[in-house]
Amino acid sequence: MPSADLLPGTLDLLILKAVSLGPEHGYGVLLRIEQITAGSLLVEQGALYPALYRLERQGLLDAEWGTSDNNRKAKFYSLTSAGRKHLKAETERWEASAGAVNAALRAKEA
Amino acid sequence: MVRLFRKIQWWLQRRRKADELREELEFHLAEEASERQSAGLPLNEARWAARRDLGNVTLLREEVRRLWSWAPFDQLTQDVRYAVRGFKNAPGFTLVVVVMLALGIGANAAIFSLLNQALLRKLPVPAPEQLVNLSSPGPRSGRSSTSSTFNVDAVFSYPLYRDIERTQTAFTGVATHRDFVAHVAYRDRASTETGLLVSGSYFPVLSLQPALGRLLSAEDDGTVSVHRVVVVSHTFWRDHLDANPAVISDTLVVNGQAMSIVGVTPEQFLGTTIELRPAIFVPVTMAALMMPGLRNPHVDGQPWNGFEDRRDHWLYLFARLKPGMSHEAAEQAVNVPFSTIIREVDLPAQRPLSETARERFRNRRLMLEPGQQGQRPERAELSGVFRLLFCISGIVLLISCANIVGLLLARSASRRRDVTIRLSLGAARRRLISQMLTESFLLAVLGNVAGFIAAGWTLRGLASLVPAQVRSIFRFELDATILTFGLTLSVVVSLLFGLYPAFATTRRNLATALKTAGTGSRSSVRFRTSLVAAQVALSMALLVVAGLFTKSLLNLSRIELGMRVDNVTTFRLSPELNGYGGEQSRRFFEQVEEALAALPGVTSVTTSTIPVLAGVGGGSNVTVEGFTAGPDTNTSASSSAVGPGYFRTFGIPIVAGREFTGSDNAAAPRVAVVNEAFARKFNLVGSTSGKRMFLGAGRRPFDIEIVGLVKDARYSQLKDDPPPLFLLPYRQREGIGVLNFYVQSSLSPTALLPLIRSAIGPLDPTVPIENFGSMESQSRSTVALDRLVSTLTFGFAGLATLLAAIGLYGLLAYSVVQRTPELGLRIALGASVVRIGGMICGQVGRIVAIGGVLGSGAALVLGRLAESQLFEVSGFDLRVMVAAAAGIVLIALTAAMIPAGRAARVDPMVALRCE
Repeated sequence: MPSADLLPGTLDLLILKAVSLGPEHGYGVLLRIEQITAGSLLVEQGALYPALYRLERQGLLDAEWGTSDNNRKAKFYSLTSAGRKHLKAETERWEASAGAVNAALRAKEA
Repeated sequence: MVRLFRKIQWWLQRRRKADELREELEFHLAEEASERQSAGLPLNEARWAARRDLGNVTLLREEVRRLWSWAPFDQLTQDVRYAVRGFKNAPGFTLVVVVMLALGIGANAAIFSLLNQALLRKLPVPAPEQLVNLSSPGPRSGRSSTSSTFNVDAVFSYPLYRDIERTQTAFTGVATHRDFVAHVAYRDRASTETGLLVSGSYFPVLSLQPALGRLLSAEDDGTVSVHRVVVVSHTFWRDHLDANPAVISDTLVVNGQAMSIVGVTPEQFLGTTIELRPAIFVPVTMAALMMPGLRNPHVDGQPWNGFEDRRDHWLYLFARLKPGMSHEAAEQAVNVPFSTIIREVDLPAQRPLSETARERFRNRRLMLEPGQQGQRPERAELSGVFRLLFCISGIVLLISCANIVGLLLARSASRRRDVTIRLSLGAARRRLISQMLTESFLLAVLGNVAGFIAAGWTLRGLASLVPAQVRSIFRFELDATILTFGLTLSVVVSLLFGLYPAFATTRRNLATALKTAGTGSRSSVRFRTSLVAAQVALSMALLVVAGLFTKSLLNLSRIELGMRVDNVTTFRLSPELNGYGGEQSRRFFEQVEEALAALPGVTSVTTSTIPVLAGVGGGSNVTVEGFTAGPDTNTSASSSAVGPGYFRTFGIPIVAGREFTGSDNAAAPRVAVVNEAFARKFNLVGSTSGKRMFLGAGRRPFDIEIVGLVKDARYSQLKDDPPPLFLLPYRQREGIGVLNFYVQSSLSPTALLPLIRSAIGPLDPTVPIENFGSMESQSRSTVALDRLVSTLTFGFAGLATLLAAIGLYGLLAYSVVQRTPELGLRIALGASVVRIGGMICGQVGRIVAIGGVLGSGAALVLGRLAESQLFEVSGFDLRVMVAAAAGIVLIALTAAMIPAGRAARVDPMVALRCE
């Protein structure tokens, strides 16, 4: 399966998207991203945690300690209302620019 | 804002966040490992693979940590931790520094507290800077009545006040007030308080809001003697009315008049005159009922009519400038109508004045003075005292700082190797300096905390030193202003003593510093030597000032009073405030005199209208037979109306003639006794008896015969020379409703009080005994301020000298340690013990000589500053100077003794091995 490197700036967006589907711990976020991208995007594990902490400090994520499926103590992240707004805005921005880039790339010689 | 908040929050939680991350990563690894294990990998390999996938964990941690670390904060905590560790390692050093700072800061905070209250504090009202006090210098005729030490230019007649109020356009309002003695009774509780007569505009001009009920307004002063309303002070409400909110519209009996309580003033508000703390506020138009003792000042036997009388000046005025109105513009604006009133209404109402006086009267102007601190007496004296004390306590603090600089330098010498190594390893000098300053600041904060405790003690000590009147003016408590002052001071102080050592220690030539670490550099020793010399100079100056004040105090205690006040107990009775008429009061006084004289153990009893040696006085112009006065001759003399046995009770020698007796009464011919100063002033020397006089000026019959001449005795204040004085029998004066009593007895005042009560009780138990105490303490209270200043300067000078001695000792002890190798070498080469001791003493001698000379110079300056507070001592007094110098030398020698002894005992072998 071909897998692509992440474009800069998209990790935050993917994390927010993953968490928006329901509270999840760090490892779960990783799995969920792999799942929703069908394994086509490669997330570097070492970059995940700094990004999670950065989003938490920006107030986009909330963190709470809970118990995982296999009964281990884990830190669960959820989206704050600021995070939800941010995700929506960023998604629109992404779609607009991705649409533009796609259109540009599809352009044929006149 | 939110971001900064979160930054601080994360910084505060940094330890928890780090733990969180660790746990989270552990969880991640465990999950990943079990995932791989279930995919078929053995446990070990699964774990390893998980680690590998996660990548460089240390790098990850570092990256996340950046989110909550904050360089300045981290550095600060590091510095603080380092400093605290340093203090723990040197508890002696820390203790000495903190104690020295505590003494310095404590003294300053205490003195500043008083200075602030006496000179700086503004009235607790909105926009106090808009308030102005009114005065009008110039001639005036009739009666001018002021409170204690107020200036006559500041009192106005009631009609003139109303004229100003009606015509002015520059103020939002003009207020007037005057104090009176109030016997206040609520239900069965009675007390004697200060009352204040105020215009209805008083509270509106101040813009005050009541704590309860309402304050007075313009509707409360419209008609004479009808507005029976009273506002009570918060203090009175708390102490005498149990802070009960239900007292509103209850009845308060003030000087026999039933008044309705309408409100309570705000807690912070203590009145508008620094020396008066009124308990009740009454409309000014109630004056005649509140002060039943008032008599017509111009015509004997006529009732007081101060509400129409333009020659009776008794009211203080202040006003609030309209917003945006400047002082100058307001002064211009109010003087236009004022001049018209003065020329057209007030001048014609005055008694015929001489042409020059008329001219000066016509030119009288209304002066505006800043009123933000309220109405205050001319107190150059008080402010001088506080400025001087503030100077002195400041010097004490400087000396403390100098000592601490010395200690820090000595300490940094032992740390120099450490500092040098850190510098050579590339530590930034800025970091080292900031670290040392943190240390200084922490010391200052510790000193500050201890200083507040010391300030509390100092204030309590001061409170016990000052006389009761002063005690009631000041609050001897720490407050927010003082705390702010103390904190500011500790920042300044920590820079003062921290900067030099921090820079000096880190500014080093690395190579030489590494080589000579352990012995101090010459420049730092020189710096410390000059510091100690400066300390010696300052304490020399303080010792001189302390000496001057001691001498002044001795002079005060040796004053020839010209009378005996020991064994005399005094008190005051004011039956007029119980509604007694003039005749009734006199009968009461005579009965009290008799009853007191009959008491066992009482040897003599007398009375006077003006309290003896209580700092107050009274008098009038007199015309004496045979003495021709020019138009502008001052013919005033002090006076008092007294009872029989006055001169006997006070032991004032009679030079010629006789003492007053009980038969010098209203039915007998009017008589007077004068003192020698009076005789000198009115050319009566040698021919006093039989001369006649009258009160006032002009052409009237000589109705008083001078029947006696007495020696001069002090009258109002201990410090003032006896003034020209004439005494009249009070029985021949009309309308005396307040009288001071003097009881001579070998019994103490405490033992006498129940006896006196038992004598007065049967006559009228409802007349309270006021101002009870011994004559000795009453006379001493007029010099209480002098005693206070002397005690304080003496204490501070002692403290300063002690601190300087500690500094000198520290320097010498340090320099002996430093010179141990050199001294050892000298001893090994045959220098005698005496010679080594002499070397150390020589070092001391130089410091003391330089410090002494500089200190004498400083003492001259301080002495000049103190001169106005000194009694019969000039600012330069050779004997005091010599004594102070001797004191300094003695103390320096004592401080030098131990280090000198140690130097002489240096073991050459040990010393040489050190090298």
